[in-house]
Amino acid sequence: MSKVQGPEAHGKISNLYAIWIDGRKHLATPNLAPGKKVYDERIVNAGGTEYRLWNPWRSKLCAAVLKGINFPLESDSRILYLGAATGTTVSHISDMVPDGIIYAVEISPRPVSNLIETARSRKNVIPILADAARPSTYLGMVETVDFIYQDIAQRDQAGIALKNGRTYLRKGGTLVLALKSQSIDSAAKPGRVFEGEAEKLSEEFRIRNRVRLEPHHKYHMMLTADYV
Amino acid sequence: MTLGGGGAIKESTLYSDGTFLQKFYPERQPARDERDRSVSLGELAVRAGFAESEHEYRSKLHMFALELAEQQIKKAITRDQIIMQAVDAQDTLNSTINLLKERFEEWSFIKRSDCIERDDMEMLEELRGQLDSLTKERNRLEEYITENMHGTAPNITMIAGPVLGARIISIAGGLERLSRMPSSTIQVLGAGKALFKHLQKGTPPPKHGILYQHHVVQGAPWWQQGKLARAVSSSLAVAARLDYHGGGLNNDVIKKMDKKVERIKAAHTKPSKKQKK
Ligand SMILES: C[S@@+](CC[C@H](N)C(=O)[O-])C[C@H]1O[C@@H](n2cnc3c(N)ncnc32)[C@H](O)[C@@H]1O
Repeated sequence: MSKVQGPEAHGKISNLYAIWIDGRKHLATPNLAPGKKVYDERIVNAGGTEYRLWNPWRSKLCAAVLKGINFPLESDSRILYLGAATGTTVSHISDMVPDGIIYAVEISPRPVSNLIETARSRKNVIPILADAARPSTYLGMVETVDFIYQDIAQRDQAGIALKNGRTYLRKGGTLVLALKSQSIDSAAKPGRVFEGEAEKLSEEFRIRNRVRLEPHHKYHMMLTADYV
Repeated sequence: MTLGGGGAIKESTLYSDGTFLQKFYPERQPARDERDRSVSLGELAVRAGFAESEHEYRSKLHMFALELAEQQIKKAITRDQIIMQAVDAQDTLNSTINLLKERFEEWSFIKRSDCIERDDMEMLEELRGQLDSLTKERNRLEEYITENMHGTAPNITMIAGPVLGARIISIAGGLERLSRMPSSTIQVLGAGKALFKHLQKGTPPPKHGILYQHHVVQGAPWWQQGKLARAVSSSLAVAARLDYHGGGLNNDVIKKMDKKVERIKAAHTKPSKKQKK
């Protein structure tokens, strides 16, 4: 039997906890769909609640939080999530905003079928099969949100964030953006590429935090910014 | 909730790997409800009588979104199917163009020998026009395939190029099937007759099928080709799995392949005794 200590609340981010297993620290979120796993995450019981351990190798957002980035997520926050894939990270955000809502946009039909399965047992996840580069195509389903989280390996990452920001982010809302330098320019130095993307964003956003995601995710940076 | 106002860097942490974390803090913290031009679909839905409460609206929206996405997936013609159509059309165009070209050249040859009439000349010009427009059509198709391959199968495109990559997907019968094939099968895709002969008559198994067209294999001396085709096909197997699951471009795959190729070339500068041409 392994020794479980905690949970200890993260403080800034709602429903995010640290749990120590045999002395090793893990981030974890209370399972909104008890008894159900979303990927191959580990489940532990602590203080009578079921938690899902959040794996930084699988989720860029988790890696970023471990490196100290934070954002004012509340239990009723509304989030537009771009590039939801099969819902690995979506599911942890879903745990963190039990009274909120996540509009999860993904362009590729195959991962969406997994996302649908995840969403069945999670009422706060709204799966949307659409192209994030064309935000007007989901106008009828998505409302103004408090957060945009974007994780899309595409060329024009800043451009997509700007377009969605204009359409959906409330004034003062937060953008959390995973940037992959290699999708933008695989020849240039990552630092340069990140600078370029941050500059594009700074026309409409105030950049708040940025952090590189090595060793968990090579050539990646996470950036948070306020919509002004 | 933290909002705009002129923020300032308060804290900056430098990690040992050279990366950094900057924390900015705002000077002003307005209330959360400072929303202009914001839309609450829930409120609208209640006002329009679509739902009794925002809560009810959300649960209706949830059911609706699940149903809609499911329907869309069922109908979604996958991008790889479109690419397969395009690459097959390109193959047909290519062989038509080649046949016409041969005919055209033969005809021009007769023309040079000066024994044809004027309306024969006109016919020949017409044929040339046809040939030009078919060639243009083929080039447009190639651009179309290239564009689509970058989006749908970025990793396969990186390893094999858009057109060969598309042809491999087509022979495999789709991206999904390709993603489930072991690399030994990928290696002999398109070997058709040679594989058949191997099974029927016990001739040596084919070392490569369509992969022979890959520049790494094609440009190498014959005794390296089998090994190189194996390196390419195992990278393709990884690339197909990545593309099928839609995770975007991963440059590690090509880097690993390049290393393997280098190693093979360095280790086999001459044919081994066992190898026969
Ligand atoms: C790196 S994965 C996201 C992983 C996910 N955020 C997680 O942590 O669980 C990137 C996803 O973005 C999707 N994507 C790429 N371009 C897109 C677009 N224009 N609109 C929506 N999704 C897109 C890809 O299909 C892929 O599933």
